[in-house]
Amino acid sequence: MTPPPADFSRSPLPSSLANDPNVQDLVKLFIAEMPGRIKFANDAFIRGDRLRLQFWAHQLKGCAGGYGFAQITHEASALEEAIIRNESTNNVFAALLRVFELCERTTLE
Amino acid sequence: MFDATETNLPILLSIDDSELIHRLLRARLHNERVQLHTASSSKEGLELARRLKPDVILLDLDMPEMDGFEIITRLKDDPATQNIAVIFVSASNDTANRVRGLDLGAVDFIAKPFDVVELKARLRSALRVQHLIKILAQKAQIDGASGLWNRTYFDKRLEAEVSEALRYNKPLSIIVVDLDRFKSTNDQFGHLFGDLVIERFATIMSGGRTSDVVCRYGGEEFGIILPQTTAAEAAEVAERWRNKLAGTTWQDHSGLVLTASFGICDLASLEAPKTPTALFAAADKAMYQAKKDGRNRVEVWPSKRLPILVTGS
Repeated sequence: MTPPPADFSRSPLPSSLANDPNVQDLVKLFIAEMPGRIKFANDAFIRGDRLRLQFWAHQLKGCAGGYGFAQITHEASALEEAIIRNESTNNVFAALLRVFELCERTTLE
Repeated sequence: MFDATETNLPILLSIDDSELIHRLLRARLHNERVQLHTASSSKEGLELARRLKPDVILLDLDMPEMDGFEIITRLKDDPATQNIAVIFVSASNDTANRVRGLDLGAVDFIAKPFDVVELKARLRSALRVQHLIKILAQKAQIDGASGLWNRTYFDKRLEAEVSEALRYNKPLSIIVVDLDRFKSTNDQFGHLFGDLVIERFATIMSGGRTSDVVCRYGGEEFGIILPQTTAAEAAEVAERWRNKLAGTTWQDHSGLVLTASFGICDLASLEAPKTPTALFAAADKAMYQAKKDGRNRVEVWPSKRLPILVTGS
């Protein structure tokens, strides 16, 4: 089961810190690195490496809010919980898709 | 904006395997008066903690290889790092984890993603407490009347300096000083004046090289540790102090000349075993020799090998 390609027609998800000059550049970098981040999780999911995926979700949960993306933190937390509860592959897949969907829409403003 | 190269700024160490968190901390704390260091693994974190001796560690709970609980346990087991304040930073909201972290010695817990204002406030609070703890620890080792280190500190420091000098084969000297006829000075001019003499002499000795460790050993006796200093160099230092004290004018007591006797020994002159006790005893003997020879002198031990260098008037 491979997550579908990104749908760029969806509305953008701006960072709540777009107007904070202290972190604007960091938010841009965070967004620019998103494809690599998604690939990492994608590969972990395809290999069935739940531990790696849980680690990824945990890290994203811990930092996305700090870059102005509280929704990603929320969905990454749900993904981490689904893995910890050892839910079905379908449930984990659905949770992962929700995180991907948000990650792909990130934008500075 | 502060100067980040200031060396007296409190040190903050972040141990977190996420570079994204380190980036955020650097951006968020760049206006704070702290030196921020980062470690991306538990091993690197423990090494930096030992080397930098930071005031506060921001410790991620969920680290691969070794989790935050294991790291804090090691920090608290190591005398070199056990007094560092540890704040756990974690994306985990589990109350049991927070309680366990605090029970293991953490001073606080910050949830990820952190609120910047809260992070800074908690950090400032931890730094404030650390600062007060340092002052208390220092005060316990400072002599109230002279403002110099006390005997407890002298003994501890001498042990450390002797060990360092022997390990790296570096010179080390100590000076033992006793104010001459101090009891008669007290009896004649009163204890308040005696205190003033102690204070003035402490100022003379503290005004020298910053590497010298000047301590009040007790009463009118002082012990000075001079790292990386030979006996001949220590004698020059002592001679400067001797001259300054003898040349000091005392308000309301014109013409009064107060003096001190100095005994010096360096580690190289000692026969084995070269212990802190033996070093102090030798310098003390030299000081008593100076007293015997007429006071207001600098005497180096052993006097046969290095005869009296200076004779006072």
